[in-house]
Amino acid sequence: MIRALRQSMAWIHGWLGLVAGWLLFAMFATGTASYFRPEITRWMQPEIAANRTAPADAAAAAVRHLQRVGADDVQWFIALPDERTAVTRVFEQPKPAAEGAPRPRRPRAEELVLDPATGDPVAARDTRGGEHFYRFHFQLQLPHPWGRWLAGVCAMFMLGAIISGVVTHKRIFADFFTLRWNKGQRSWLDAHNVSAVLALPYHAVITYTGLVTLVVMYMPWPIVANYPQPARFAQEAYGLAADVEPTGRPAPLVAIAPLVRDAERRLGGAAGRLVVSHPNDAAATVTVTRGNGASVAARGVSATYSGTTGRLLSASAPPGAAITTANVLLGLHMAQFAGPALRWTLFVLGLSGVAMVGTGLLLWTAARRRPGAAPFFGLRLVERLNIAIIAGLPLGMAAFLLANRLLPAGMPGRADAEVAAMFWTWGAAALLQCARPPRLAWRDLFALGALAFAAIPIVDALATPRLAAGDPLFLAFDSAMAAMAVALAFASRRAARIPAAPVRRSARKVAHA
Amino acid sequence: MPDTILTAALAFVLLAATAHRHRRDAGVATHGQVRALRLAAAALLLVAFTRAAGPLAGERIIRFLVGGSIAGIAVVLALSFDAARVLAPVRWLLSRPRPAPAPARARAPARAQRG
Repeated sequence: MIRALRQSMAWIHGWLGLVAGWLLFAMFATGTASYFRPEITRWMQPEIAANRTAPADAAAAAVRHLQRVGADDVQWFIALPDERTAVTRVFEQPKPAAEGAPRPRRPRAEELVLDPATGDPVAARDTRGGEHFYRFHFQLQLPHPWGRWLAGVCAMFMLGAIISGVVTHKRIFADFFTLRWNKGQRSWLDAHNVSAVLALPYHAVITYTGLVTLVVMYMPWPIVANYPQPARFAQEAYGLAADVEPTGRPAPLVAIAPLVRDAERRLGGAAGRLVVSHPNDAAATVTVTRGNGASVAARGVSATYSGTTGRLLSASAPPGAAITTANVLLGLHMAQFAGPALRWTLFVLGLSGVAMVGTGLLLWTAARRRPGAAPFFGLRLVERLNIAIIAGLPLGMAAFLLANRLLPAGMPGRADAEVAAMFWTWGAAALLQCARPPRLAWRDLFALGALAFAAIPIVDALATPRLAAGDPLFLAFDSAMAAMAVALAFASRRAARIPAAPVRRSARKVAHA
Repeated sequence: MPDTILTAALAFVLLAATAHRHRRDAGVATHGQVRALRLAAAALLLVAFTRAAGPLAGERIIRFLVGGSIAGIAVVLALSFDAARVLAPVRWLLSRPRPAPAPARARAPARAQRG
């Protein structure tokens, strides 16, 4: 009975892992990079210096600018800078044009990037920065909502693979300290086990919390059944202030900085976000939300003030147990609370997830290859897809970063061109490797990836004065790129070796013994 | 964070010494030694847990699990390259001279009494 259960679980584990494995590899790789989303963005905009302005002063500077360019807007969403983010990011919601009225007099930018100290727009190269890796890891560069749905299906497969993998592994504790090198399939299995079992808490948590992050989208029915408008659910669940209608009577906006300082004192942490509704109207409100560094929970508490008198109108009540749990799960996934040491540790564990999925994919082919026999079509297909994803994706990611330095800073549409560089490089690598025998394709793509990552610090040193100025972020980033180059060069060297003699035991018996 | 990782790594080295695969390299000969090593490892993990505190509520658990995972992977990687060298401190610890056991004659009556 137990044996039959294990065999069933092994079958489920193998096929769930294979079907979702390629996308999971890409999700893990780009998601792991997203731990350093603000740092990647800063590296990709070397024109912007590190932030030294307090949130309250940055808010005041941003509002001064917005009063000049959008005093009649419906709402201003202001993301305040912190020690990791160097700029103030602003989204304007303009007043809708009246019936029959001419189009707005000026084109509105999707997002304004402002200098925290002066409030002036920042002149920096256009880039998606770390946001690209972050968005890709759950949207997969597909239109809304298909990417998110596909990522959810993959995460569900991953959760199934984790549970079935634990049930399958009958010697989970006996093999705890076992990793044997140069033993072919046995070594892949050991590496898969080590990366999966020792970091199991991380893998289980990151997968489950990834699903919970988008659970409202995957299962909207409870909200649809109970709330006429989804916004009402958000207001009730997160204690947000109710929307108010503008009165049409003009009234000057109160000074913002004192409100932000008062909110920081009340909320017990630095302000992270500011929403000004109906600025310069008698019904104006200012909502200050606490940043994510003050708690493991991802969604901060907020306080709402009158925009004309500065009087506190409401403060969000402590959320209930369910919302707190959801907030903590979301916070665990995004890890925005983590300091540098914990963030680097999570990054290394993310890489172990990449290794787990990668070794699992390689194990699938190793377990089915018969010595002396021609590989069947499915095996050839899986092997080619493995090469395209495992060796091709790092090359594409390096191309994205290199394009940031090599494309002219003032080029129109350069943010899209950087993203295109990643996917064209990845696609070309995936196609061209088919012209080489598998072993040489592995070697060549890893070698190309190593060269591309090694080129990043060199190009950065030549093109960026900030590196010469000794900015620690740039030094750390370029060192990480050099480390990636060394790792890929090592992988290329290993891939070039003639494979070891096959083990005698039946391949299927060895896999998940 | 680094001290959590180091303490957990030390605990995992002691636990690895009790694993069947590595007992010979670690010089573990008796069940008493296995028990003692496991107890010492548990104590070290407890120390790692107490030292994993962060400024936020609940961060201790995250730091402990994350640091423990990293330590586990590092120890297994080190063991895979040269288990004998990694376990040499345990071997040295266990091979230190201990107080001589009581003479057989003195123990015999007690054994006889137990039946």
